[in-house]
Amino acid sequence: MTIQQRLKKSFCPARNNPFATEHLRKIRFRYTENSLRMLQDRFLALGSQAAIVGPQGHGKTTLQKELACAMESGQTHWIKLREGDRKIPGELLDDIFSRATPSDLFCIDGAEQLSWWNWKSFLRQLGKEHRCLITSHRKGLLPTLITCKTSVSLLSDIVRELTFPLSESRYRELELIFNKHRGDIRQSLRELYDRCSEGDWSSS
Amino acid sequence: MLEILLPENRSAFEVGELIEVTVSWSLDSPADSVELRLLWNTVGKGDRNLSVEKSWKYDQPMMSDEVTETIRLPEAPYSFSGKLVSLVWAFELIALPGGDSIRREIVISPDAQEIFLHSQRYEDE
Repeated sequence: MTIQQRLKKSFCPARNNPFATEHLRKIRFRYTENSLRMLQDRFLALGSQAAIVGPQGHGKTTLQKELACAMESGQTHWIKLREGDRKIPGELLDDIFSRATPSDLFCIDGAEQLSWWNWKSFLRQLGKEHRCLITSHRKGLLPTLITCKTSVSLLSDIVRELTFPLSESRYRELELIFNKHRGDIRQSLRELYDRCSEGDWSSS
Repeated sequence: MLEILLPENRSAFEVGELIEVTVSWSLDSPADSVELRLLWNTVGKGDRNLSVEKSWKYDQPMMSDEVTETIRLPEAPYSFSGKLVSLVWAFELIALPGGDSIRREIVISPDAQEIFLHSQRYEDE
């Protein structure tokens, strides 16, 4: 084993890991077919109630945050649902709706978690006058604004932003990681964090 | 321009050490205050934790000025790094409300060296 190969195996302190959370947070959504402006226009055309759809780790939440920031609104009410959250606590919703004005924007991240009954109940409270942007793994809850897709080139673009230009062999490795996680960029980046921490991912 | 000067330009210190830190600024526009903060934060795979341990606020600062503070460094936590998380100490100088800032990371530990939770030896040793 050469010195370079041996060095590659040395451990990488978390503070030097290019895939640390603080770096991942700075990654922006990559607009391909649609620009931010086009999505804002489409949101208006859909009656200002729409869904960003796609599987886990496909950039839905990143896009939701960017759209919410870009859209002129009163207040933005964020509701983040986690695995198994079948209901939004009634007192929380009552409190939000009692304060909400028509210019406010409701953002629900992970709306597919809600049971059918609770989703319908939320829609009734929302009415037509409030704006609402949700993320969901499945279509049909609200008209689809965009379906998020990922690709190996998207992953490699992100990795290049975080680290360095990629050699061909590194690109092939990324392809394997991407396929292993079925296009989930978040999981792919977490695996890259682990590989980097073990010294298994360097510039060559 | 904001600047933090550490004694002898060191960046590693023993816990509880008494040091003199000189901060200076030359502002482009008037600020409400300039603040020096001694803080630690975590970096790694999980969420970031942050704690401001001490701060010094200079209200209605002049456009250019220099201040020296005598600071007793904290006893804990120590600067450390593992694969999953690092704990990093830093001085930050911030002009408010604009938010212009500068950060100087330092090490604080019993022997003024970062503690590594894993061996850095090569794989075949």
